[in-house]
Amino acid sequence: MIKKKITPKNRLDTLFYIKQIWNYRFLSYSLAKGEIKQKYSKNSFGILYSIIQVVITLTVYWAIFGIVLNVDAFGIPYPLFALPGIIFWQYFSNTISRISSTLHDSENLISKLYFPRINLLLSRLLINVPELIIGLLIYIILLIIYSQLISFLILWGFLLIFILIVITFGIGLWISMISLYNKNLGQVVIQLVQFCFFLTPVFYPGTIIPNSFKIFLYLNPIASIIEFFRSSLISIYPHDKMFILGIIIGTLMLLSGFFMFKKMERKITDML
Amino acid sequence: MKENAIVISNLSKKYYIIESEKQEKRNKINVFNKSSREFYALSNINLEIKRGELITIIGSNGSGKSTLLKLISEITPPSKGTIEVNGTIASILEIGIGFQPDLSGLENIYLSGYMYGLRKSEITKNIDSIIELFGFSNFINTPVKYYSSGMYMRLAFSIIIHIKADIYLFDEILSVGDASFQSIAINKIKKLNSSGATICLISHTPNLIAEISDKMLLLNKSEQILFSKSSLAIEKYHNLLFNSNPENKNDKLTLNSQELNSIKNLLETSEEFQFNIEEIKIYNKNATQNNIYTDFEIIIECTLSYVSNLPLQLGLLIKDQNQIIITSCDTELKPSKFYSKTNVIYTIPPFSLNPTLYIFDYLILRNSEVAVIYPLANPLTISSKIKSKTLGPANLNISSEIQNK
Repeated sequence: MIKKKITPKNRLDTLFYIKQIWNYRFLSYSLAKGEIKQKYSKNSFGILYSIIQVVITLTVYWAIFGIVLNVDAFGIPYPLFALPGIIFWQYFSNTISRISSTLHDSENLISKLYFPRINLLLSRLLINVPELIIGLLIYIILLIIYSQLISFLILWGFLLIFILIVITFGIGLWISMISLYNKNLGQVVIQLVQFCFFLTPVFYPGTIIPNSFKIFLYLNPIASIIEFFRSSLISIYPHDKMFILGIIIGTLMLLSGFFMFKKMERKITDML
Repeated sequence: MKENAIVISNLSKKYYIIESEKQEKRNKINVFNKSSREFYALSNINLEIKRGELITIIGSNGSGKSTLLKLISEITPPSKGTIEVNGTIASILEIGIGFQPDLSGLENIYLSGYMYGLRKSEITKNIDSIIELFGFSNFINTPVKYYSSGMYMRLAFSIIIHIKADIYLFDEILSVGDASFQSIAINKIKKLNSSGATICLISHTPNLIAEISDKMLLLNKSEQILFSKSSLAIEKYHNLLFNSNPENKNDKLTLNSQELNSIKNLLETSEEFQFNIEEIKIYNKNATQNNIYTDFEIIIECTLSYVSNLPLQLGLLIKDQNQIIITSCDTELKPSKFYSKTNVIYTIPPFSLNPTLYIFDYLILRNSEVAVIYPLANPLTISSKIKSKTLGPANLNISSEIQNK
């Protein structure tokens, strides 16, 4: 028989907490499934809509930056150069804005059910994964079109996508905690994060930044991941040791966010 | 000696009051530095619930019933005190919560199951039985947004009763759904309880489940008033419920002009008409105590003065707390030319009313047509010194015999 003692200051044991999150993993999965179905049931094109969206965005970028402004991408065909940036940034920014309002949107569930609240945020992480996969498939098609070698390096790409998701979660944790504390402040932070689009090498290569400022560029985890992805899959794109910097920053945010959230977990119901 | 399922000691829950939009922001910050206006949703609760008991929590709105269940199910932490729980908890605070409209019935069964902390294998094991209970198996793959509200409820309920736990917490699930749903729900709760589960449920209609509850917890204004057997708690609950409104205290005894006119119309008379109930006394025949017991004759004495040139009838209505009439009794009033006091005395024989809460109304009638109803504002609790043998409010003394053929 399970015995439990509830006191005002129950410290959650980290291992127990992780086990709980794992036990409720199907909750996150099912919630995400519902949201995805809702998203696609609203437009009649279904999954085709996402494909069209990626293709249109890519074409516009290509026309403006690739052809008109003639951004130098080390001789890499511009669509091949720009696509990872586009899909990674879109995943990041959509997910972040979704996560930030999750706790407020789910007030009903939170005040009536017991489950690790972090699973709600985890479910939001999955909602934009279909677009990520579609983008990646288009990328593979582009690789074939431009007759690039598809080697085992593509696995390296998958690892980077996994890192992207995990780091997005870390940043999302922080923003959702800020929104919980003050809803308006959360919206301001979201706006600032969206603005970071211009500081991220999505439509330009990171190499155009002067060397002395590069450290600031790669403090941005998303910038590091995009550049890392490009240099891993396309051999002529330059590699930089500083890519690891953003990933370290992202990991630190994830860990600190996780422990902060764990500390807040029991108070969330009362803070809504 | 049975094992304890839940032990609550010195439990309190403190909230910070948000008074206006402007103050909201300040209060949120005060969650951390604790200096704003405090409000206790629960204060100093002490309970011991044994394994296999069925506990009903009663109390008026805002008395802290739901907060107590939320604390036990760890949705929100206590501010003071401890709760010891032995066993797994299934906390059902709302039926049909968290359904996703775009998912099918089947997918929602899983989703809902996960929300209550079930594992995939547990749900899969019970899936046939859940669908069977749901009863619309051909709609199981339809998104629930196309379901009727009745189907929605049934689906939610089918899932809930398949949750396996040692302790079940139910918040007001009887107040949703129709009468047939209620009886199904009560039966299922009984079944769970008889198979050894401990059950805590909140109810606003304690009479419905008084028979199946082992004990009742009465909360009032965040405080624990009583934790005792059902009849005592219900009696106290009714007293609290109806005595808390001081303006109801004085019975309305004088007729206003409109009511007088309506009687005049009914009597088809233009002559003088006056009617006043001056005093109503309800007591036991050999009254030595304040409470009224069914063990003795109950006397209802009504002092009235009237002027009327036609005969009238004064009726007494006995109703239960849901305003359903149990029985009635009429008295002929002779025409009276002078304003004089008359006493009407009704006698209820011993043991004809079972102990519960009653509402008495007076009627003025003419040829069995009701002219005016005088409500006696304060409902009255009738107690008993011994346990009643029959169910329901009235005891008709039905005889029974066995004939062997």
